[in-house]
Amino acid sequence: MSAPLLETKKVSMVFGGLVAVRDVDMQIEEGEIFGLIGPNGAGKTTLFNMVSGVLKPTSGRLIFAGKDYTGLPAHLVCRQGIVHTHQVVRPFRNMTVYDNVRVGLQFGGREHARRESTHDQVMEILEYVGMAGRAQELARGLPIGYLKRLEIARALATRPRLLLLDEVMGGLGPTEIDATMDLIRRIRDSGITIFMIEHHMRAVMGISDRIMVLHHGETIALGTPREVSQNPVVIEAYLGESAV
Amino acid sequence: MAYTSQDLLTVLVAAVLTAGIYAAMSYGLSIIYGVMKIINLSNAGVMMLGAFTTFELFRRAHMDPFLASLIVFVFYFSLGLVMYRLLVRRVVTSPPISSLLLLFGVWLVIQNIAILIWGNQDESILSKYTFATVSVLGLPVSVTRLVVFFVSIVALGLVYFFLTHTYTGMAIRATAQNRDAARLVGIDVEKSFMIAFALGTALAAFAGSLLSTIYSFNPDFGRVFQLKSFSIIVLGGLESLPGVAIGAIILSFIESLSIFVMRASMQNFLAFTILVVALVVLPNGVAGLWQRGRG
Repeated sequence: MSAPLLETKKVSMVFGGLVAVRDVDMQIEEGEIFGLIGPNGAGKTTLFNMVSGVLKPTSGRLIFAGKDYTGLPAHLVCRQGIVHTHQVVRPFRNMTVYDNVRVGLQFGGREHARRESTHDQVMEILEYVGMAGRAQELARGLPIGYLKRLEIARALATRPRLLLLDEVMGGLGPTEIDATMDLIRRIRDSGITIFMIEHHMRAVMGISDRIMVLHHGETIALGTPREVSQNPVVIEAYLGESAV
Repeated sequence: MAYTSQDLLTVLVAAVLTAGIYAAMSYGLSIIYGVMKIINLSNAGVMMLGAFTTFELFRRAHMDPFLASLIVFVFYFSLGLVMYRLLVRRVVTSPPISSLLLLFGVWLVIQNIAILIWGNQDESILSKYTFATVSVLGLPVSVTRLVVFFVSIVALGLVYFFLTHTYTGMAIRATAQNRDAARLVGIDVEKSFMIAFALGTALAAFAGSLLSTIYSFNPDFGRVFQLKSFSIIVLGGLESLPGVAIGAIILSFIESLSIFVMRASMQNFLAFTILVVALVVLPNGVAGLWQRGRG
């Protein structure tokens, strides 16, 4: 079997005295959809921020495609091929949809050389996420469903090997969720590995190959959606929280 | 005393010409605020240094003051890079008070160095343009003011082109709009900060250089213009070039037209009144009003 695309070795993040993530070991294989779930405050977003280079782990190592990249700044992590979309969308508000994608095309990507993006490349990505018709609209005027897609489009424009999706289903209606699940599958089928945080259970159970459950910063379960959903420790973590 | 339509026209032409340099001197402050969200109080000191540098190039090297202003631009761009690397880099992500105090300190240091070098008296540049006039719409207009106006407009146009049509310019705009997102799509945000700071510094020195051909100056030069710049960028909504242009036009017209109703020495009072009124009534500036109107 080939080496995993992403591997974390005992990564921990401590804020002051608070341990947000403790000794997480995981391996994501190329081409899979890997789900990350857990109650609020479990450390999911912190783990994402470490993988994308926004936070430097307090301890532990991060390995991507066989290379240790622990401590690399976020913009360089992006150029290695890891890109992160946010739970709270962060568009370039005063740019058009088109220019938002163009920025991703020009600055992201794996090679360091500057490239000129072509009109076709921008439009291809916009077609892909179903936003070609809104190319010339300013990002600040878009409804939330489209902003979430724009976030994905801009991330795809950096030509990642690993796409981190932080709650892309949040705030979407049932039809939009189905469309987004379909989009995520298509992205995976195009050769991009997906690592996603998702609260929407039907969605995450429906598309993930494997799921990891984080609770109080520690891994409490890892397996197929079926295994995870039947794991008593997981059920307790969730029920325990809702009972409070 | 009665005023003629000729007087009005003279004042309006003067207002347009002043608006050009007002926009140029304010845009540096606006770029730095827009990209880094820090208020660059050292701007005033840099403006003054731009004026004295032009003065020295003119006096010692007999250089044309407008040619000197180009050298000033390049030199202070480099100085801006150095200031960023040595000082500003350390406070970009700190609470605003740190950068405010640091850059206020830089201003005081610059001002006192200037007093040591040039003393506290007023200097001025008397070049071949100083007393020349040409006729515009049948009115005599100072050549200096006309050249300053066009040079300001061209400079702003070039900066705008740089920001909207180049790779680095796009990175700077993206950083201004959302620095976290910029980082995540592979933009070197530190580099955007550095270039924005250098560009803002260069524009301030360049504006100081142009102003030195019109006004006399001393080491305190720049203070009044800096305060006017604040009024302009607040009016204009802090970070857009069209906003700054509109703010500059508004301030310049109000100041110029006030000559009909109050003493010229009261003009500075107007800039501050506008600043206060703008902060209370239009906290997002004229551009904010326009954006709200468009939903």
